[in-house]
Amino acid sequence: MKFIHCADLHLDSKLSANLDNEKVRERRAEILHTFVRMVAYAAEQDVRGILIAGDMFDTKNISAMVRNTVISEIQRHPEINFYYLKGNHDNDNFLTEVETIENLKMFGDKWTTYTEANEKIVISGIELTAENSGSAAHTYTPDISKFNIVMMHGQQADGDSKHRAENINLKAYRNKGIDYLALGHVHAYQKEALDARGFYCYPGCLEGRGFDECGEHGFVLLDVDEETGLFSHTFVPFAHRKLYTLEVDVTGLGSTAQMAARIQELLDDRQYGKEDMLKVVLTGSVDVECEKDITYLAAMLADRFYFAKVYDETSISVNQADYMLDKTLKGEFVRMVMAQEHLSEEEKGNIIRYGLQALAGEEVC
Amino acid sequence: MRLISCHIENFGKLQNLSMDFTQGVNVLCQKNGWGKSTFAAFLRVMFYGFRGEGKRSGIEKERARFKPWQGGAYGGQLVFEIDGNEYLVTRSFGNKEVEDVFELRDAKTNLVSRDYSANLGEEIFKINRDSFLRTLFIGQNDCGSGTTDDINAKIGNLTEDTGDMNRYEAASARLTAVMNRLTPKYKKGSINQRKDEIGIVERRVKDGGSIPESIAAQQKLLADERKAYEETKKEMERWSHLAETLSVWENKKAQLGGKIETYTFNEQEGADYEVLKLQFVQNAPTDEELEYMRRQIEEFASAKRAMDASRLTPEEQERLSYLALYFENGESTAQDMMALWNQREVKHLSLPSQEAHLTAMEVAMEQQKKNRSKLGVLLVVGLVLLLCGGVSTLYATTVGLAVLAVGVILFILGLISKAKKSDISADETSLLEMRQSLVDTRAEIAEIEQQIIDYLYRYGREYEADFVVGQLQAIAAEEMEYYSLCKKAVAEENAQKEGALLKLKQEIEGFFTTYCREVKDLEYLESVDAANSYLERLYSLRENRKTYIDLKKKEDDLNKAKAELLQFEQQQEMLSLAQQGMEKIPSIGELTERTRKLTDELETIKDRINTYISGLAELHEKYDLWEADKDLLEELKKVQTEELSMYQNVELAADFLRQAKEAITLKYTAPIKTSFDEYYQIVVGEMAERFRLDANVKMEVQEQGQLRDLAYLSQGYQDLVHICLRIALIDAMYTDEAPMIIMDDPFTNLDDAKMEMAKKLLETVSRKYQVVYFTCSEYRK
Repeated sequence: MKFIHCADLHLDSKLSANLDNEKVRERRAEILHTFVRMVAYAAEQDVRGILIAGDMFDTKNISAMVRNTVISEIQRHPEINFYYLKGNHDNDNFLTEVETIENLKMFGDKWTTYTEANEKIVISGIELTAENSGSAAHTYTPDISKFNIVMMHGQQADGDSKHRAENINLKAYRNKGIDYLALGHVHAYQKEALDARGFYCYPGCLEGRGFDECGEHGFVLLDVDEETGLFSHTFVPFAHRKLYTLEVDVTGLGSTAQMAARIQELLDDRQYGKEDMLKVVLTGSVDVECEKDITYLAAMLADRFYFAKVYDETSISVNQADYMLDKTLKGEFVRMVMAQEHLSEEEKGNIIRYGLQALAGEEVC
Repeated sequence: MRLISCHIENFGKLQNLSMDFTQGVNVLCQKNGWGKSTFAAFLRVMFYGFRGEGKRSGIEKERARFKPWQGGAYGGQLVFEIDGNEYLVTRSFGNKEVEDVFELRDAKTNLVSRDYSANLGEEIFKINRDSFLRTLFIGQNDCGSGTTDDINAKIGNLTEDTGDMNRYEAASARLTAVMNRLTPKYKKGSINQRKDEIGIVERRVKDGGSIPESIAAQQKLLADERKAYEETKKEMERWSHLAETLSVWENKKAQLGGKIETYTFNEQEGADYEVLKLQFVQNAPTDEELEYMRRQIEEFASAKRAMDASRLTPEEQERLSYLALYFENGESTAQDMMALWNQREVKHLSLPSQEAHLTAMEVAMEQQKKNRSKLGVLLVVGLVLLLCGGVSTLYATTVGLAVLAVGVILFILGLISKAKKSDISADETSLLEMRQSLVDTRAEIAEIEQQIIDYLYRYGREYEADFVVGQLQAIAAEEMEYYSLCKKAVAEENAQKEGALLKLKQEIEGFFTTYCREVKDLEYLESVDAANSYLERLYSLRENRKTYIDLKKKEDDLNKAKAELLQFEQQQEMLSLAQQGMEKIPSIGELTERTRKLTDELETIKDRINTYISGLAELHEKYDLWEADKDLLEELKKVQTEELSMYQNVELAADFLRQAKEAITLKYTAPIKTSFDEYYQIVVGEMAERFRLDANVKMEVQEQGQLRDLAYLSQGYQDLVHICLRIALIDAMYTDEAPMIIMDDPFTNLDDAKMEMAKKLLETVSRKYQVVYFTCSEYRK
């Protein structure tokens, strides 16, 4: 019997950190469509259940289009059970009506259990709160003769935390007879042994949204042999777009042109697609008189990717020896700034950069 | 550096004017309107070109202002000496700068020189036009002092290095522009504006701080309502289930009631049952017992009958004695006699036909001879006789058979005769044979009759032909009777049969005593008739038993149905009450009312749930806006922090840049001040202690206990101080080669006393610099 384990879809996400309004709308539609594609994949693969381990939605206020699309997909596939465990981002009010959907199985702040395969597979879940997170493990008592899947949303930790409801103390769930701990909350794929019997797994988010979610994203396909209790586990990359962060060390480079060449050099070694999203981070140390135009570098990449931006995280280096014997105003200025002990090196660098940009007739930025 | 001569072709109102210059003071004293300022401007333009080239106004645009009034070539020549070389510079001006012509020649060789370009002033004096106007060119009512970047650069002798001192003001302005754009101090500054925005958003974020609690409270209310909905729904289901249960109960009770009604006795059945119960109070015989008893009674009757039959009555004894006379000696042959008699009958019956046949044959013989055609008569007669014989056989066998035989014979004879009609001799033979046969038959009949007569006689009977059969049958019957009586007379068998009969009697009577109280009404079982009576009573008993069993079953069913109903009611009621937590089962009316109320309650809860959902949707929308505000606030604060940092750093950059410039200028302000003090002392005759010069070469005066701007002084005093400072600056700027100084009547604001001081200053300066002094006053000359 097959199951899909996904989490952190964050449908209706704001996405405004990087994208303009038009791309925000487009990207939201893409993320929603990825969910629809995943359901179609499940139907095609005879998947019995889709385990959504929290954060299906991003905002408290779900748009009508997203809500209607999700409900429609669930209702269009009565052969698939949707096990939806709410996460910290999810709305408690997803179903506005009192009535429930037959194949939408939801959970609460107490252990809720469903069965599949003539009760040979048991799916349990609990939505963690400040009140129940400490006792959840103790109140979970599975039948070890079954194939036990447990769904939760939170950050795995090695101990209890009184202050963080979303913390899941893995130690407390070891040796309880769990075969597969289906987690959500961490946005990158992660699978580790829970104990001698079972595994815990974060499938990561279905689609990367920001540059803190770079790389491959998708869901996990489980195929459980209900007779033997053995199962296969496959991560299925499924995201429509990929996000990449490219760190470019520009130490020693003195001009925008040199930096553009360095970026190009690194891009040539990578297989990034035109539909992907790229963040270039300039690192290293550049001379205070280095000519560097971030806007130009971003413009250079804009046509080559769906979205690109350039972050300047370089530090400014000032070689005092260069100015030691400089009798000019610039020399006097640099020496004077560098002599200020109460200023940090970063402050000195910025002050010098501003002063030199002003003296050079450049834009002060 | 010094001016040697000049020639003005046409420049403003001046034309064809030449002048030679000497070392020291060159005074040009002309009345007002002569063109002194035009002349001074000509000298400046020869070095720096026109000012205000981008201006439209005639006054500000010098090219238009000094365009020759009288027309002609616009320009002139100037001869100057520098570093021991003499140059002739010629400029002619067109309507536009591009139409201007500049030419530099070596004044000695008259060859074109490339030593300087059209930017002659800056190349020679190392300062721009504005700086020139602030130092070497002292205009009328424009004595003000102060430095420019070029002046500072020139003073600091830095121009040869990078010349960045002359960029200070631009850099400072650029930094100031950034600070003005960012400044937190003024309304238009982005930091200040953002501060307001942050305040607004912060207030919104603070105001929205209660939204999560409101959502939580609303969610709790919603959860409570959902719980109430579920509970009410369960209650509704419970009541619906109860209604269904009650309906089932009612049906079941009605069903059981129907059963009870069915099983309840009517009046007759009740009476019968009461009687039958008495009869079968102990037990009722089974079918097997009844059947067994029936067979016993029948056996009894049969045995009784046999017993009775086995005893000879006196009549039978007498009869036996009588019959013994005839049959004692052996068996009769009545049957044989009967067969013999039947033979006699057949023969006897055949006589008429034989006789008729004979007669017919005889007649036929006669007729045959006459008319052979009459032979067919035989056939017809034979056929008739056959028919008659056949019919007669049905009523009188013997006669019938005889007639039939005759018919057959006649018919055959007929056929034979017909066949042998042609053989008359054969027929005659047959006729003879026929006559013989008839004789034989009659003899045989007589013999049989005699045997019969003898037989009958032997058994005491007389012969009479018509009653022979009856007599023979009677003999046979008597013979049977004889043997029967003989058999009955055997006594041994009867004793055994009586014992068995008695046993049967007791069994039967015992049975009836057990099951049939009215057995006493029965006669003793002594005869076959009594046995028949017992049998009838048994049948009656069987019927009663069947009726009893049926009624008993009905009674049992009734009791069972009643018990079932009672049990059902008790069980269901208890169960239901226990399940429902009710003290008593509600009525259908109560159920309906309760269900209606629950339906209304469900609708009300549903409305409340929808209200909470709507409220939550609004709260969630506010929450999202609140979250967005928090993000916005964070972003604003981040940008604010960045801009504040930038502002502070830019401010520091501007400050440090200023300090750097001051540090550089400080190096030459001391010599400037010394020089100024000297000039001031020469002019005023006192020490210039109360004057202070800052690093920006700005002069201030100590007045009434504090430093004040020079504007605090009288205008004449200001002019003198500024001119002294200018000369001091020129001293600082040109330490190697002294340039010329052009003064365009700068002392107009001086009173007589101060004019004397100015003259002293002019005299002092002229010792060091070539001075071209324009004035309109003989006194100021």
